[in-house]
Amino acid sequence: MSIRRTAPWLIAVAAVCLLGGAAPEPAATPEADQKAFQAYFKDRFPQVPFADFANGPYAVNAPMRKQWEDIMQFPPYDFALDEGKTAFETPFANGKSYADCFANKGIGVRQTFPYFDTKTGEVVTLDLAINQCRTANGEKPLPYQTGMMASITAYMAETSRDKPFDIKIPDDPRATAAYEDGKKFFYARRGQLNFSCASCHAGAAGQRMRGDILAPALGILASFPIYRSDWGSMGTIDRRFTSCSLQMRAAPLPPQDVQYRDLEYFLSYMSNGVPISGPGTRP
Amino acid sequence: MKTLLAVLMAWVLTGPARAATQADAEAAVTAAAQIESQAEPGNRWVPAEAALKAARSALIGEDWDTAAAQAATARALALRSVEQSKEQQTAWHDAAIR
Amino acid sequence: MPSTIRVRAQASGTSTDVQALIQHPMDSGFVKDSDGKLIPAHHIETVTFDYKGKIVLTANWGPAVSKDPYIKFAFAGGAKGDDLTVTWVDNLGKTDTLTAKIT
Repeated sequence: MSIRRTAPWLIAVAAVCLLGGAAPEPAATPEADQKAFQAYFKDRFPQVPFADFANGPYAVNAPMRKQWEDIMQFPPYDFALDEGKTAFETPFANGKSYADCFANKGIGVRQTFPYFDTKTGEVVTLDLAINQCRTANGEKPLPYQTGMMASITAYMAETSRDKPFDIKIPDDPRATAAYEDGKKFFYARRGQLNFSCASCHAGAAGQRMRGDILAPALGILASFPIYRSDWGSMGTIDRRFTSCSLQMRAAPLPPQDVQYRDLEYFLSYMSNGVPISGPGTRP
Repeated sequence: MKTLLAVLMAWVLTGPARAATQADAEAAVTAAAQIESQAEPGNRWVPAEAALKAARSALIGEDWDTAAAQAATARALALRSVEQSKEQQTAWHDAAIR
Repeated sequence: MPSTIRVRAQASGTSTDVQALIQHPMDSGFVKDSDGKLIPAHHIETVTFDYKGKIVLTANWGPAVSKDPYIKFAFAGGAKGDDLTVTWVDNLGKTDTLTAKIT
């Protein structure tokens, strides 16, 4: 073949190749993120069955698991669970109850929280929903982090035990923005110690931090609320976000701050499919 | 010229030995507080807040030296936290699992 | 008022395995609260396990035992359907008791 006749053909092919090479990286969608996130942890911990990621450090450390199995013969959250069940079933002063605020009377719904409320344009966590229910019915909101809030969420989690996380991101730019905000919070370094959530729960998952084993981020919220031996009491997701913040020497945000709710949204969506194993117990 | 230089040197070298005045201390605390207020809500460093609080207590106790020193610490830490937040606006993306 | 004691006793061959979880603050008396005041000592001093009128275990606890203590032990004898009574007494004279059936 002569160069003259093939040149335009060659130029056309070259142009297509160059344009193809210069095409931008496909935009990260939440679905793509979730796939990559779950694949990352499955690769890191090939011996851990997917559902077991709900058990955090116990999924990746055998001696800790043995201790956990012993403790679970008589779970330390038992007392809070009973208290929560009683409180959940007690009607408010106006005669209504928590059952009136939730789908399916509040039984077996924890795995759908948090959700994005398209009416108010914000992420609604279970804790927030409980207090919204209370104020809508003339009751004072409960303080977050521990106490009765932890007991009621413990009961609601127990009714969802083994149901897989089923978090939805509606086709709404505000929902995607909340998801992205949570994602950024997870990966951004903060505090004097310059750690991000990912530093410990992605990069160093399964390794030791002082005497503790770091839980993988996949499924990390599935066992909440937890009875933490370190606290000697129950704690919600807020309580853990607050204490983690302090451990990085970053001043914590108030409970249920929009950034914490967005972070919970991101982490829960990443864990879709992991079963609810709450309430839980941790070292 | 030489005398001027000598006087200037003497003034600079005796700088640390001079005690902070009330005005110095108050200015330092105000400056530190101003920078700390620029820090992102999710990233106010605990030691920066602690130093600022100590500086304010020292002002109330009229301990100008401590107030100035704590304010200087608070300012330095606050500046680093602001820097960190600015850097993380884009740097977080590199850490993301994808 | 719900009991502070949860107990599970299982007869197995010639012995019975017992586990109990007791809800109690177990304040040692050495810890200070956020105002800097000492939280007064409030902890269980004795726990007894009574089987057919015979004490099969006496636990002498004190400030070193943590909140909501858990105990596990086995004793010779015991049969399915029999009663086992657990009683605790603390340093303030408070007490609670529970009788459960061995399974």
